[in-house]
Amino acid sequence: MKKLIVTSFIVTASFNVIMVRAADIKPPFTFNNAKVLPVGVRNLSYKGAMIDGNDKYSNDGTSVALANPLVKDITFQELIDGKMDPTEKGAIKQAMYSIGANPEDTFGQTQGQVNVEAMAHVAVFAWGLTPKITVGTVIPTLQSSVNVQVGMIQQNSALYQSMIAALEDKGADIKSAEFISKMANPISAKAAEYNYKPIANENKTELGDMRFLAKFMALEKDSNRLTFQADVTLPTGKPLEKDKLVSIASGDGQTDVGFSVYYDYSYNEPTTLSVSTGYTAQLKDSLALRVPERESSKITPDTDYKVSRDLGDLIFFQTNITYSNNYTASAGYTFQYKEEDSFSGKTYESQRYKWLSKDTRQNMQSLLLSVGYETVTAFRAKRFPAPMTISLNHARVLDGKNVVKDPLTSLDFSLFF
Amino acid sequence: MKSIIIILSFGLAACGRQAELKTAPTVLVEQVQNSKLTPKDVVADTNMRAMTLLSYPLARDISDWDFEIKEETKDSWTMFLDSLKFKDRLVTSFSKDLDSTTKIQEIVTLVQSAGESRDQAFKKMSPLKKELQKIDTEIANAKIDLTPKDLESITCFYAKKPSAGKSFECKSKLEGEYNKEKTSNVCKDFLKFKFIDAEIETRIENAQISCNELQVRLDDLKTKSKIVDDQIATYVALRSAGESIVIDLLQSVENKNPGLVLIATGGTIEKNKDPSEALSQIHFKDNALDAISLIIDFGPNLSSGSGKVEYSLENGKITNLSFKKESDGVWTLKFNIVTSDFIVKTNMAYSVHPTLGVRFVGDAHFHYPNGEVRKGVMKLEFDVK
Repeated sequence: MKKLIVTSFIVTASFNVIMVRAADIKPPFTFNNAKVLPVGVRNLSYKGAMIDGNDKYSNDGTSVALANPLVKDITFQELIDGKMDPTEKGAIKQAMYSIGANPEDTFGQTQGQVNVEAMAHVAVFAWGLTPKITVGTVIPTLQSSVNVQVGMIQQNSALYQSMIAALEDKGADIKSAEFISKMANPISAKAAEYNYKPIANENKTELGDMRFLAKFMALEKDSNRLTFQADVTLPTGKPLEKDKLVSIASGDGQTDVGFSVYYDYSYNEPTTLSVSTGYTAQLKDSLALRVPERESSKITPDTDYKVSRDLGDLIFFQTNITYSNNYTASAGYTFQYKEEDSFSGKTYESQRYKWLSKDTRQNMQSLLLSVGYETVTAFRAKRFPAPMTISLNHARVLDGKNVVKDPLTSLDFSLFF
Repeated sequence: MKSIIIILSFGLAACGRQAELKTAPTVLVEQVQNSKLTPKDVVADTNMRAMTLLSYPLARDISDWDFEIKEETKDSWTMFLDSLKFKDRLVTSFSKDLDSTTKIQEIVTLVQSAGESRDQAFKKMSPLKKELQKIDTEIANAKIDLTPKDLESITCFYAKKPSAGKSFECKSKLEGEYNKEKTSNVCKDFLKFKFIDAEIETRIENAQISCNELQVRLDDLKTKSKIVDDQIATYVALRSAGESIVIDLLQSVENKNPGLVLIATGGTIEKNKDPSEALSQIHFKDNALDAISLIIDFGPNLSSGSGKVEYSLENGKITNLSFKKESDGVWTLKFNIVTSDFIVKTNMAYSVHPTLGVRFVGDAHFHYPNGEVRKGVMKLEFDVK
């Protein structure tokens, strides 16, 4: 069993909300091939993959900082739009008129720094059931660390002071104190106002979504090998917490069903060319989600406890070449695509659910390189006590949309028995 | 970030690390600390100068509501709008098609602009009132000054009393038929003396000049007083216009919704026509609120009927009163006004303005028995003694 998909931990940033979603595309860290285990042979592997989250590709394909959604100009229009209550909108508008300001006038810019470092520990157990069928289980664990800090840079002291003066001139000292407090840290203030959990650093280790798969070798003739794989991923991980502004999830809370095709061509004994493609359907489910009150921000006070969700299905294509003669070296190119998520509900206007889908269509092109050592040949020649492989893999993201940009490095250790 | 540590380990040993702590920029917003005066520091009039109490309409109140400025209120609207630099940014006409959210926003903007206009008028009026007071004092003093000491020794000896409007024909000494004596120590009377002997000519002339100068000064002061008084009247009218347009606007909504109470008027110095009418009052003892009595008329839509009613702690119509300093340093006054139809829950900040005096400004939310809450505002104004 070589095909491996661990729980994903790609950092996906949505406006004002940083989420690390299990359902998103992540850089690959294994090479696909059409091999199956010999009958009765079992394989236990450990794969450790490390990723830092600092940068991502945005929806237009440009590279931005992961904390980019937290960076926002605080304009009068933003203050007005940030209020649901029309009486509060009117009060802000009047204050703006009073000091001769305009909607686009900026008080300053919110700032954020988000550092994510995650380590996926993946245990894989596979068993050659028949000469053509291998079954396996993938048990991922996600160890993650998130450090986050938010603040505000004042860019227009005169406007800020004018606003305070205007409020105090009206005798609205309560509003003035509220304005001063909120302007000191608008993100934290908004989070508190909407009953989000306080923004805080977090370290945790959680079980991811477990995967069960079966691989069937349909053809093995001359230099050609063709294999099909069916798999199902169960929601054993912990999904996103709706009350956190910055969150990492070890699972996506729903079931996936996938089907893949692998083809190997042995160019000569040590060199193999592999091509693979696959489709994973992320099944519909319903869950409690916060529903945005406007398109430009996902921070919202409103929760719908029964949102219908259909995460976008995934496809991949990978081609790689592997040289293996005790020492192994591989290189491969992978293209992945995820359809847009879709959300619906009955509690709020349908348009508000559509805003949840914003920036959820993803694609990624990546290059994966690997070097390693295997003792299978030495074991067969009784020169080594156990058949095993070890490799170090490094994936670099070449291009993409709405996906993390940071490289991924992984260690792969397998023992056959 | 980019350093990657891989701990090779055989078996399933975990390798992990904590994210490097990086910090967000620390250039934060400058905190403003205001020095806050308290009732202990300021002696305010216990009688209320002005009161504002209103609630804003809900969307359903105005979904089918439209508004145009009527001929009978046009002057107030014009006066109010002309007082604002941003009058062109205000919406004063509402069609039925306009969505309710926008209508509420614009109503709030108008109401708060009216408050601003009233405050501006008071700020301009306040120094004028002081100036008028000064002029009136000068006039009073001038009247006293119109008694030059020189006049004390000038006595008019006349032969016969002149006809109405004519001057006394005087001699400075008793002589023949000029044997009737009239003494004057005020210019008003002295200027009616016409001395026919030359003996005291210089003294008489000087006194006359002095009296004439004093009269000119008095006339000037009276003219100034009239000008300032007219200016004050303009600002009184502007304050009244600010109130009128709010009443015009909100009563229009009330008329569309029978039984709805959106605006109230208070018994205050500014509002009461008859000095014998009861005034709303707040008494402080140091920084504790000693007594409160609000005279409020919620209008004809209140089920218990229109008319001014006293709301006080004593009669149980004001409850849950508190006046305290909050953690943000703001002194807040909170109480409930209990009416037959709803309870108004207030939360107002205490502030002292050099011109506007002591004010309590903040939220006044109208809570109805069916759980409905209508957001509103309340403002109580007092002169500083």
